[in-house]
Amino acid sequence: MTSEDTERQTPEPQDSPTDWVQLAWSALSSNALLSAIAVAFAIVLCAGSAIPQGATYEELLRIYPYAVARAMQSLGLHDLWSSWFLWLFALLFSLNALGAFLRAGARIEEGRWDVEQTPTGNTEELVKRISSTLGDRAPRSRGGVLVWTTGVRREAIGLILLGIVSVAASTVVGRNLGANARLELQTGVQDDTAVLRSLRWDSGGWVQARPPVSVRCDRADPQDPLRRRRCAVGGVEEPVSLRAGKVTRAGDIELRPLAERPRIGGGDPELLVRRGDARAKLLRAKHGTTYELDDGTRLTAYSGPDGPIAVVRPEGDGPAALYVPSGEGQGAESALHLAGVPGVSLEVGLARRPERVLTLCGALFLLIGFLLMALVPDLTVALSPRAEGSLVRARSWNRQDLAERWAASLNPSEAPAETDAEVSS
Amino acid sequence: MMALRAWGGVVLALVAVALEAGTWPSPRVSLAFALGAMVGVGRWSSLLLGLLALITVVLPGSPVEADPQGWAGLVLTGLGLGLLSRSVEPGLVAMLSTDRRRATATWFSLLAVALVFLPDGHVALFDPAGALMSFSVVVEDAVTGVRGIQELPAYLASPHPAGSLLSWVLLLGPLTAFLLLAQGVAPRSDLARAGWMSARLTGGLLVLSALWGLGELLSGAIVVPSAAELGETLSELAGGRASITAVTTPDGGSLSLASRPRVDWIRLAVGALLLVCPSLPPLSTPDDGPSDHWLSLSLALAVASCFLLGPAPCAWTIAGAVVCGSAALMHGTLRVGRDRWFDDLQLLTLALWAAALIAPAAGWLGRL
Repeated sequence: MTSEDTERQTPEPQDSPTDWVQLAWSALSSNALLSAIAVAFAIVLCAGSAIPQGATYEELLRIYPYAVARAMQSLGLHDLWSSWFLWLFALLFSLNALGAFLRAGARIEEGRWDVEQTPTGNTEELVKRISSTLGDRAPRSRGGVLVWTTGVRREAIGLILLGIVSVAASTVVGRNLGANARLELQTGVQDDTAVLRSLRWDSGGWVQARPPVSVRCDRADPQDPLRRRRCAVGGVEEPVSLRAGKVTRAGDIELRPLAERPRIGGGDPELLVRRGDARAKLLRAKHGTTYELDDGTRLTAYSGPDGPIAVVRPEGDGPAALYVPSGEGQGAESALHLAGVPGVSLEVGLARRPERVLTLCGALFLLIGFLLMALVPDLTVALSPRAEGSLVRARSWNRQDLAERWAASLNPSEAPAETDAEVSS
Repeated sequence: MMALRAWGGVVLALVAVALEAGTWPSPRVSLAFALGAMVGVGRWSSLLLGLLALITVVLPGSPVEADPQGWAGLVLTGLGLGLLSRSVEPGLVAMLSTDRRRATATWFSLLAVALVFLPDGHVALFDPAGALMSFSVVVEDAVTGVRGIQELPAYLASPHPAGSLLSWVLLLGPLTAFLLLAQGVAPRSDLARAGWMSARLTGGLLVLSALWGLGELLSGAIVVPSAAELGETLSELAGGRASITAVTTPDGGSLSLASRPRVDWIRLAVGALLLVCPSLPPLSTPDDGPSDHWLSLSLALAVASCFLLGPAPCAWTIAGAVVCGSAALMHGTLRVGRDRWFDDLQLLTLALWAAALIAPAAGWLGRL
């Protein structure tokens, strides 16, 4: 039998599933991996400052070369909030942090201790003394070591992780249940043709899509400097009033007027009618309908190709006159002044953000978690029973002298300088 | 040295605040750094924040809106920076200690390369009163022919005078990093000498180029192009989509230290550190022990400021700083003791937080 045959016959070592689980556990609870994930996560987040968020592909092309803009669009770097980067990194970070936390709890012996001493007395006496100095707390046993903990470190870390998970979950919720759309509406139209153009943000940019809810808006009073208008949104019974530059809520929908553009033709005619020096009144007419004004003048309004047209008949049997009012107004008679109101289309930003509650909760959890970690002093005491005398160790990660002061209170007869305290620098 | 550590940061912060006195209505970056320097008083990191406050005086922009939310976000950021500087102090001193000096120089030589790419090809012109000048142009849309008069801020193309020196940094920076890393793998005295010499050379070039750039700004002289040349340049920048004709030119304008977006100051600081790093005396720090509660408190303030600043671009980088700081906090609490990761992550948190404020205000993110 040659050595080659022997090699063939020797079975290759097989990794058992336990090894893989062990490997995965080691990786997921590694502090070094946690740091690496954090750095990569931070780099991705910093890209949000450099790359304009929510920018369209055209806007990216104006700033960056073609290849760079394409790469950004493909990776979703211009919409980090709904990109897979964010929740993937957040998930990895949370899992790794949880693993590191559980591992640290299981290996209480690891790490640096602020105080190590071997006080006099047997183990039972020491347990009683330690418990009494810590407000009669009961110890927990971990691998033969009795451990007392004060403070809220565990709860605080739990809250911080919960906060990160909440923020990550909010991006998924926003992506699947939220809506971000832009509608161009023909104002004053009360049917489905009111929507001229509908765009939806799909992480890659604005794409043509059906509007997520039906929206119809009235025309604004041309004399109103705030450009207020009434709108009916989806299933909301009560119409809402939109105002230029302001965000208005209709149920769970946020509406923001974005732009107003002149539109030739379309919709019913509107005329500003002014008599003498009186304030002009807006006449919202129906195409082909005749209206009688206060002084008996009859006015029939039509929708012309370039704006409204009016036929004015003076009181009595005077001759009718056709008027094509310009934007600046035209005198129909000596006292009557008509001005056409041109049709406008209104661009409205429409957003539904069901993830906002989760984001707020996430921020709140993070805030409370960090504050708890900072403000509540933490102390861990471990008692290792030994034949030659029990070893008592204490440490605090957020208060320098807490472990020393506690050790002094454990041995009131001994001065702190005489203890074998080892204070970490 | 003791007096410098004790009072240097506060003095620099007060000078920065005095220089910013005329610009109170707008939230200035330097005020956040000055606040941070005062909170971290008595530490080297306070001196660092004071220096940053002085460097960022009269930056052309502001990273936050001038509303109550913006102000609150900026104040919380300043307080958070100060608290973080208290926590980061031992790591900062350890970074410059004898045994970690080589790693520090490696990182800074790579940072020197990154600094070459910061935008420095334009200057802003200021009038004698110190206000940014503007000039009028007629913009005509190439497709529709619609014309209109626009007032543009007086930013003129002006390549950095030390461009050729900076191109050498591109070569020397990676070489320094390579030599210092190689010294770590195969310790040899000649490699160490070459590495430190290369580091000094890189630092010297950075300092020289920064002083040259600052000298040009201090001289105040610039040749303003004619209206025809200005219009031609702007039309080229418009990419053929619009025809631009300059009606006026920013005559009478001059350069000031605020004309370039603070690139030279950062280069000066990093270059000086590379230059003196090999022979820096050991630094002492107040022995107030581990102060991880300052880190968690500063992270709480960072979360609050992130929430207040909302859609501002700097909020994303502050969020990145929070992530790094959280990892540092996990290290501190779970390992119970300072280690290399803990110090480095805290320093990265501080750097990201500072960059979040400086970059948008200095115009590093936009393209002029």
